Amino acid sequence: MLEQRIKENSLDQDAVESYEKHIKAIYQVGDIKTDDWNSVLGYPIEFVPQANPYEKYSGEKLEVQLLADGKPLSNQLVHADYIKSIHAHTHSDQNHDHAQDGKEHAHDHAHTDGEDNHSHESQPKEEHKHTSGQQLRTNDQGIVLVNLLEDGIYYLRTIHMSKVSDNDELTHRSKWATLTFEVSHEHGANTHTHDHEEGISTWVFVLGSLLIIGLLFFVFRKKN
Amino acid sequence: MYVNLKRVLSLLLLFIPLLGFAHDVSSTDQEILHNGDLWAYIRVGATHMLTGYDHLLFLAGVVFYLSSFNDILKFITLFTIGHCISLIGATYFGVTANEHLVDAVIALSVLYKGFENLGGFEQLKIKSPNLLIMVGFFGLIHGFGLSTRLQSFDMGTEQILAKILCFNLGVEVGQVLALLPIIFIITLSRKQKQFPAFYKAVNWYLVLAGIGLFVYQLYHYFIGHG
Repeated sequence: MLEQRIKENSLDQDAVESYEKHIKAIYQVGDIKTDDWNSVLGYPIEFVPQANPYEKYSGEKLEVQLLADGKPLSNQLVHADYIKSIHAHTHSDQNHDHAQDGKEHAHDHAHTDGEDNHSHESQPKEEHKHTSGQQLRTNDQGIVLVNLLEDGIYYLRTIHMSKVSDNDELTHRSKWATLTFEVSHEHGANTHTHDHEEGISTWVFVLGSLLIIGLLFFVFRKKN
Repeated sequence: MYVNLKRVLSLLLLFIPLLGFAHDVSSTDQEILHNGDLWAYIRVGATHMLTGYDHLLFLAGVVFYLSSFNDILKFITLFTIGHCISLIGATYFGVTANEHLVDAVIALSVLYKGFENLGGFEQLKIKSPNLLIMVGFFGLIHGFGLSTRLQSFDMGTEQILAKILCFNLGVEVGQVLALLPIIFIITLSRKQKQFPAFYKAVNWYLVLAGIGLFVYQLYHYFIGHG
């Protein structure tokens, strides 16, 4: 949008923006994971994970699709950041490549709308300080690949700005979307499970053991 | 039949500590460790010893073979020294291995003990390995198993050694709690006429349980890698 305004030499003109923010947070607790994470809530703009974030672990990557009015929104800048969990594990061996640098790529695409920055008239985007973390850009299917670098609460956000021509009071309209979820680390080597507790029920084990010993005792007593 | 029932009831007593912890302890353990102090490590250590069938089965096998209290004390002390060394050492230096593989070796120790108690080596006309050395060796293996379990939890970055020692202390508390009824029942059973049948039954059960646990752990190891 900034590019467009520079191109049109309209930076000195006032802009009136209406914005709407659509937030989404996914929580899952306990061992049983449900499929609610992939629910499309039908927001005007919405992130939809392509896999359950709670079955992803730090060090892995998660695909998230961005929908605007139910359709994939391509070439849209998405910021992904996180705050560390208290007992975070860092995956220092990961190659922390940023898939794309949104700011630089913005020059390459001449969009009439769909720009990412919610710049107001006198506030160039370079001054925005809340753009830490990964800067990603959606592909043709509206999908970004988020690096889940370490344990933490992840926060994706994007702002889709468009010009308004059918309203006397507004010049721009923006739709904001966020997605929040938590990622933990995978326990142990490969799938760490506490088999003693979860694999075999203690009751089954104890009763089975008693039955076997009882039967064996009966057999050996008869033999004697 | 009267004796049989009595034996079964006695065994039920043996497993009472297990039943007390027949909950899904793993999901709560991490929370206990997150929120608790060093006491939490003692508690979790004791819980893991009491819910670890393989450790208890091996201990039962060791105790079954020994008749004098001094021998029991000697072997259990050796087993304890063994598992303390590997539990503290491996955890402190971050040495770990796949949990299922370690547990598979522990299952073999149960199988080994049952086999040895049944006179398997004599029947195969093989000189059985030195008992003390084997118990000390298996103590190391069991300690490594406990260490992999402890390392699967987030322990934070502070007071690591104190946490390991507290977990170890908890393991010893759990071991004593488990051993008391085991020794009591086995000592009691020795006085019974049907002891030979009971001895055979339990040790054959140890062999079968060892094989079962071994297969179970390997199955989960390969599933986990599949």
